[in-house]
Amino acid sequence: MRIEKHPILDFARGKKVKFTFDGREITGHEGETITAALVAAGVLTLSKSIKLERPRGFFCGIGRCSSCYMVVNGVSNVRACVTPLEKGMDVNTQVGRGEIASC
Amino acid sequence: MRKTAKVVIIGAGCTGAAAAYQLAVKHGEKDVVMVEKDFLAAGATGRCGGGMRQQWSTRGNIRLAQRSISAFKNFQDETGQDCEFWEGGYLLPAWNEEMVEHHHTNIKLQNEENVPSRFVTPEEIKDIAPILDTTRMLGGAYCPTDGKANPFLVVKGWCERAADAGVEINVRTEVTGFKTSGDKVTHVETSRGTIECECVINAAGGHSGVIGKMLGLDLPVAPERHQILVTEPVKHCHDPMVIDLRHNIYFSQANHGSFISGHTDYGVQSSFNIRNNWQFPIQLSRKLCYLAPPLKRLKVVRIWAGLYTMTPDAQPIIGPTPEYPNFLNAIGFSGHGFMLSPVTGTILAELITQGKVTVCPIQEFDIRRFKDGTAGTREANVV
Amino acid sequence: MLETDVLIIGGGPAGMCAAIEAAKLGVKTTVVEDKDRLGGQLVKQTHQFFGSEKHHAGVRGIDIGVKLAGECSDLKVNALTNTTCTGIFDDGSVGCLRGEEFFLIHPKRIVIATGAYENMLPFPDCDLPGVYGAGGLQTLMNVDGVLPGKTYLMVGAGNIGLIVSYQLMQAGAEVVAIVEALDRVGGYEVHAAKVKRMGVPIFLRHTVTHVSGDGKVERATISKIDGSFKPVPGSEFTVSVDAVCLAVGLSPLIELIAQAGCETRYIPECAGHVAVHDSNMRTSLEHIFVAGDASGIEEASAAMVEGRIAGLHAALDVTHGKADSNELLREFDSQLDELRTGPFGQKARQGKSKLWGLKLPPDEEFEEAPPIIPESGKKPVIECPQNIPCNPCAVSCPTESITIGDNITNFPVLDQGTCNGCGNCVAACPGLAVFLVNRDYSDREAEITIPWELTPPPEKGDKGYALDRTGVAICPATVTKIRRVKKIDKKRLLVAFTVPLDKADEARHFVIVEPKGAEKIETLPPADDIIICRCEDVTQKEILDCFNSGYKSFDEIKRYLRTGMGPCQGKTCQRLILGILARELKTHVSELAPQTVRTPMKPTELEIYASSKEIEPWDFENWQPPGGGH
Repeated sequence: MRIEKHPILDFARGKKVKFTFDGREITGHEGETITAALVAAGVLTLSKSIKLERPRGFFCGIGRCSSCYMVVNGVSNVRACVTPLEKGMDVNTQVGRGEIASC
Repeated sequence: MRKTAKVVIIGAGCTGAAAAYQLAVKHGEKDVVMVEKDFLAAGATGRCGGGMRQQWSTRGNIRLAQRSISAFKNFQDETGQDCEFWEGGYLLPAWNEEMVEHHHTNIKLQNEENVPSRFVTPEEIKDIAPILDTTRMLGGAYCPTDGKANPFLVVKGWCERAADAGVEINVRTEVTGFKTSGDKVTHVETSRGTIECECVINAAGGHSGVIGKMLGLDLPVAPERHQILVTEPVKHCHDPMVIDLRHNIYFSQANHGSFISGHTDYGVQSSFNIRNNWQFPIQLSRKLCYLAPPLKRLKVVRIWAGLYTMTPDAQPIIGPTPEYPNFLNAIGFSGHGFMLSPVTGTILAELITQGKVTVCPIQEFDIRRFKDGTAGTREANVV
Repeated sequence: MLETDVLIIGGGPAGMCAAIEAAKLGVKTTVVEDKDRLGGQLVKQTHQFFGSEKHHAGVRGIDIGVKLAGECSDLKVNALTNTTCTGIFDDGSVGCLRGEEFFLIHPKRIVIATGAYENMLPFPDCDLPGVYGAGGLQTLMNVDGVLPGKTYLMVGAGNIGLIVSYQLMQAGAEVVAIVEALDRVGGYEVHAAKVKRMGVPIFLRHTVTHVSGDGKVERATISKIDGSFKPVPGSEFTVSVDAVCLAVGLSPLIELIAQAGCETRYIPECAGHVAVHDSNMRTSLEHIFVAGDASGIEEASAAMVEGRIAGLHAALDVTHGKADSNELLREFDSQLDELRTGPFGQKARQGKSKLWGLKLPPDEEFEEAPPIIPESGKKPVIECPQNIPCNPCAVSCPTESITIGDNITNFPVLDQGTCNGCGNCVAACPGLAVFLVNRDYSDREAEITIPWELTPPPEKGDKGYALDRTGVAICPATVTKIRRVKKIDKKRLLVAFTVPLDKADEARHFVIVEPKGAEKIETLPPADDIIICRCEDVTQKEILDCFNSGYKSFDEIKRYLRTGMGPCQGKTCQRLILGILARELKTHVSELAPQTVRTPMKPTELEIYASSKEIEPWDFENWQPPGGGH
């Protein structure tokens, strides 16, 4: 959920844009991270882990752990927590290892 | 730690581990102590790419590799340890007529030794390795029975079985010197005590020259840094180990999904330095992106380096030292120690328990070749 | 390739201060920061800092960040944001990743101010979505303005756990409880008091032992723990929460320091392995300095002073000492001494003494704070029970009725005779620990004025309840006045409400709706194993099996199980695995070798390396081996 009113902070949000997550249309704000947009929309599972395929969500927030590896516009292993949202992005849950583009 | 042993093995890399396993499990010689200054596979073994091939340019190397690969194939049955052996083949592209000629010559030699290598066309290469850009290739040498294994698991399997059979393995134990009597080495001195022994195996890899110096020997080996990188894992999409002799690079996809790749540093000088430089990832990435464009978005997660122990002819030194006949060397594998380790272990065990080697001829690995001028041609298929 | 005199890696409080001091000496100064703006952790800190004016006391972290970034900009510091330093090489060059570019910086001196990383607490299903580190959650909440749930369990009652709990409530979330493994609150009592009076229970000697839910956290099981931190069977209870926030400590982030080849040492008081450094902040490598959390975990105020010292010395090296900075350096040293006085500065004092081979300073106990309870009139009640180095209450007082004295950790003293009851101190106290009590409001009522930083604020005339210091509703209350003291703080409100006279010493918070306590539900059985390495899915049992097979060091376990080989390079699991090894080997972590750190610090695409301009482009069509031959 988004914080609409805060006693101390003002949030400067980019313009609203639509993107898809696992085929579903979601609205986020341009320039915020993909994870911020997904979490705001109530999406908590971003990937399934490499060996045991356990659900993983937002964790480190600085692009260093592997919990938010997602498939974005066909590219695997994109760190959604540090990747800015763009209009029309095709974002998908990554299950296990990623794939290289042409294989 | 034991005070006496028939055999002391210096180094717990693949060569030392193979020797321990062969001696204790296969040749009934259980009075063996192993000393390792760090931990199992801490040196070059644990840093190498894990490939194994029979596509060599010298008969000696071909024979050693052939026997070793069949040992890796049976590894799990023999030791109970899965070593992730994978028969993905080796592919050596040819970019010009000279290289085509070179590969044909080698394939002929390899075929004479019953290695099923063959020359493949660019179209065949595309089938074998779809990620390669074959546009400028004239073909390549390919052997489907080459492969790779996980070096840590290999050392683990051998050492655990050797220990079960009675071998004492001492990690974090550094050799500091020797005692001799005439032409015999009688004691190995270590940071944790002295061991009286009948025979010593020098399997200290990059540091084998240092061990030799402790006996006053000037072994013709030179440590050389080789850097290597690994990418994040992706689903399996590539079978063979690719060795590109023109562009000086090898790469493969590991069992776990990562791509592993390395080359010989440009202008490398002999030293013990295994720190990385910034040039390496740039140089290597350029070659990888050129050879296999679909990999370009893959991320490098780690870079490291290990030591090749080079000899003047890039072939190993295996067998007794003239000055001290009970001091056996198994050194100077010039980057190929892992893939040759099973047969090296057998040779050492046979030398110690039978006094002669039956598994394959070993004259060309005799250290005296460098002094009496009988050294053969330099191995050409080295990256 | 970029040439600079002083390169600062990390644009947080320590890094920015290092840059400011270096730039003031006129040397070419560059800061590399991997976020999109300078500020580091300051960008998420909505609370005011303690300390004195020179430490920005009374200013909110976010505002300090903006101010320091402005100073950097005024001093023409070259700030490279969105840039990650991925390796420091033996030829002196520093590899950097910026967007799609890999390039080198050639500095004469380097200051590493990379800060800290969060510790992880392992328990069954700790990898479920909904378990967050406090830092990550703070980013989501205070930078992105997004909450991943409504109800939270906070683990850890140190300053971070307490502050983030309060921030969660500022953002409109509910904190069901705070659990703390120790038998005391580790953070400042004033921070604890802020959340307690809002009704958040703090369970000491308790921890979270399990979370469960359908693909995400829905419940958390809490257990009492004994003296050796083991759960007490039968003491478990489960609460319904959307998320569990871990605030179980920080470790110095020394990846680059270790990779560069600086000597490191495990100092428990510094919270982990740190670069060995002298009091000038120079490491064992002459050209590399360290500052801030990377040199030992402390408050941001100390990090800023360390940054100034490191930046100044780095710049002095470049100018070959052609500047008289002795007086400035003495000033910085005395500021650090000041910040490290008192019981809260003890760890830092002891840690640094160990590093510098000095005699270990003795433990200091908290003094008992003298109660200041005015008996009549409209006077402040100062509930500041610990020796925090802090003085904004005294600075803000127009009549100089509040005094601290020479030692900044002294308790404030109020002269009731001269105090005019203006309430500036209520607006100024960074700990929200000063209240105005007017016993003469009416015959039967007292008026209580409290500091307010929550949403939504009440309005004049609102009727509700007054809560006591533990968050229990004790009486009806009516809001009489809402105001701000803008010259002190633009955001904080002062909310005044009336209570029956006999509740004047108890009422410390106001709510419109009476709060309800956390609902305890049935305990669920935990999963039987624990994920220790998230990147490679390695469990505690696998690590113990590997250990029992004879692989007894981090680097060995890494080779066999791949722990630490994933993209995070062991930032989550290394501390946990060293802990397991130390326990099994019956030794201390300081005796164990940490893992070997490898470049790149951040996974780097092959194509980015390949297109680097640091090496002339190659012509593969007419291939010639690059220099050196093969």
